[in-house]
Amino acid sequence: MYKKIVPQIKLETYEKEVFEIDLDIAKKFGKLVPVLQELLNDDKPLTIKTINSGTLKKIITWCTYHKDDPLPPEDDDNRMKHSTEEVSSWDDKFLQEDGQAALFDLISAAHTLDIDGLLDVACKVVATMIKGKAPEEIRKVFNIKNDFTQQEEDQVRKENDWCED
Amino acid sequence: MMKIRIRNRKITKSIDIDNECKLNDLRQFIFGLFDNTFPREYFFSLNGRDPMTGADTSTEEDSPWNKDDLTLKDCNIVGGDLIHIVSLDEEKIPTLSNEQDKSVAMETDHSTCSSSKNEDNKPSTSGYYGNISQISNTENPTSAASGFSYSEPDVAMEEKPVDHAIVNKCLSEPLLCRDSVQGAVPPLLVKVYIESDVTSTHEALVIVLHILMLESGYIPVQTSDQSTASGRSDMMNADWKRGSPASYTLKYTHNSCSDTDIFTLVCLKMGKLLIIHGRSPDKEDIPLNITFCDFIQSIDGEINKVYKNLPKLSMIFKDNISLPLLQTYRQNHGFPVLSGIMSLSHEIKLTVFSFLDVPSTVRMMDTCKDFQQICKDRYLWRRHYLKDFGNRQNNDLSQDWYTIYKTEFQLRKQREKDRRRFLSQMTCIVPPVFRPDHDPGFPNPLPSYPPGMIGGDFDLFPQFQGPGGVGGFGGRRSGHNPLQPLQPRFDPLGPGHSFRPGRGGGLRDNRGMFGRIGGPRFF
Repeated sequence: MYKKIVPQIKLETYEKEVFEIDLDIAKKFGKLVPVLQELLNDDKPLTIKTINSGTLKKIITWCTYHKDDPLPPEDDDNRMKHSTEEVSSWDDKFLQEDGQAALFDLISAAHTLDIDGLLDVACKVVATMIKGKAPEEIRKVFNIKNDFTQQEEDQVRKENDWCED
Repeated sequence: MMKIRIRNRKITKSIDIDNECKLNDLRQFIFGLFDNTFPREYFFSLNGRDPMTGADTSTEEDSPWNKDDLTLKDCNIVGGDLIHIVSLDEEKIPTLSNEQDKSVAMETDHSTCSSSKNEDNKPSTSGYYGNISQISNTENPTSAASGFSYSEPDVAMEEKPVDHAIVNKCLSEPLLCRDSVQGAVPPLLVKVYIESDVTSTHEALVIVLHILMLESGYIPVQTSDQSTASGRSDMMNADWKRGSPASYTLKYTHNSCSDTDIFTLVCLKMGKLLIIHGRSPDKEDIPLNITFCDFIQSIDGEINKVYKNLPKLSMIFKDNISLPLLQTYRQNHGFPVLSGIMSLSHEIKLTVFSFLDVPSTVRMMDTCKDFQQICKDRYLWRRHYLKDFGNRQNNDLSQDWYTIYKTEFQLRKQREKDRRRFLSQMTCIVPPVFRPDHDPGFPNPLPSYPPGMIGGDFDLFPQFQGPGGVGGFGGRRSGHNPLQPLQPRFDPLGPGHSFRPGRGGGLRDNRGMFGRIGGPRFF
């Protein structure tokens, strides 16, 4: 019996751990795909120092789950529609289960690896965390330091109350 | 050059090395010599228990393990010596350490001659004469050592075969609390838990918090005698239990901060809650409440049954205390941010904000200066404008789209207000007109008007008075009258901001709200 040989690429993380990723999963990696394909016959892994192993593991899980999704549409009209789609409950749970620090690591990594779908959905999750909250609440949730002086803050609030009812 | 032997667990390898070689270089040299059982943190030892130290006794006190800049010569290492690698990575399993002791005992006939002698030397070796005696002492074993350095095989064959069960057990232990599944507890937690003599549930909880602080890169503050006594640096500060049982105080420094900046973790017991205050060196205080029963089962049984939901605790604690503490510190001192939303690059922040609606974007501006800047991005506001109000004559990106949107929004809001006021006066006068093309899902903005009365037809024929009763109010140019602010037509703004341009815009006039003939031009 013939065994189908799946071409694999090797990625090395910040912790110097090497991951072997099937090419059909790595095809999600947008602009990186041609680079990876060149490395296919190479034994040396591609080192990405900005990504840690935990994050890469999550990325592989995400890409495996979404492996059979259709590619995002090319034309602008459909892309617009695509970007307003809701986040699926699986994605929502998957992205939030490890906490904020992990989520932001994941976003940076998705950006580095150019995984459009993941970046999109993760940014939407962050946007949902922001929506409907007062500035003070937003600061608390994301631990943002308020660097306005009291005077500046009053000024900004006054300027920005135009859209409140 | 000399030949020495290095032993990690049960494998012994002999290497050739210069006796001026520093311990630090030795670490690099032997890295990769052993398989994956090689520990990440370890110290060198001659007898398998105590770290080997330099000849100078004063250095012994402030260094828990080995001083890396000591040379082999300083440590009285001579050719043929056996150096043990003692792992600090995990708590030694009792059975394993017994075996090690046995194997050490087996070795003693070779190694004691050098190690015990070295220990004897220590008290006397001080100053110039000490060094001389050391050198004279090192002479003898060198000549003797050359004999057994070759008689010993590279891999100690007499030892028991590798116990795979133990190896696998150690390898499957989670490294971090977030990886903990089904009672598997990180070895570091096990070690600290056992050594710190836990007497109550809140102490058990405080210990996990301590481990989580270590995982976040904090270094516990320790007194010098504490570190020499235990030889470990991963225990809590000695006085952590001083306020016990009501409160516990943990103190840390961090790699990226100066040593004098102390982060404090104060844990107060309040009934079923543990109230945690994280304090940065700048006296900023971050509180967090944790319920015991969410994470602690019972402290009576095995350590594997003490904790539950460790990954969740890890997530809550790191997101709320340990990482924010470091982040505020770094922000206050002008370091780049390492984690959280502020660490994202500008373009990713923009991507996130592009998914926000208008009120949320505006509120985001109020949070901090950085976001105020980003949220005023022209591209974002042009998108909002085009989506909400349609296109303008000049759609160039170089304009201040934020202000344009704001002006337009305020204008429409004002007109909507006027319309509502007017409608409340009008409804009793004008009888409703049946509209067959009325969309029941969308509230007719002006239920009393015939279709197309104002907008398309009205604009084309200003003199034309519709069949309704509006004419009774006079023409559209009749000076001051209540219709005046409404011309040419109200904006059928729906409630909220979800309104789409073009709805109800007269007789299928698809030029958009402001492209209409006779309409007011604002720009």
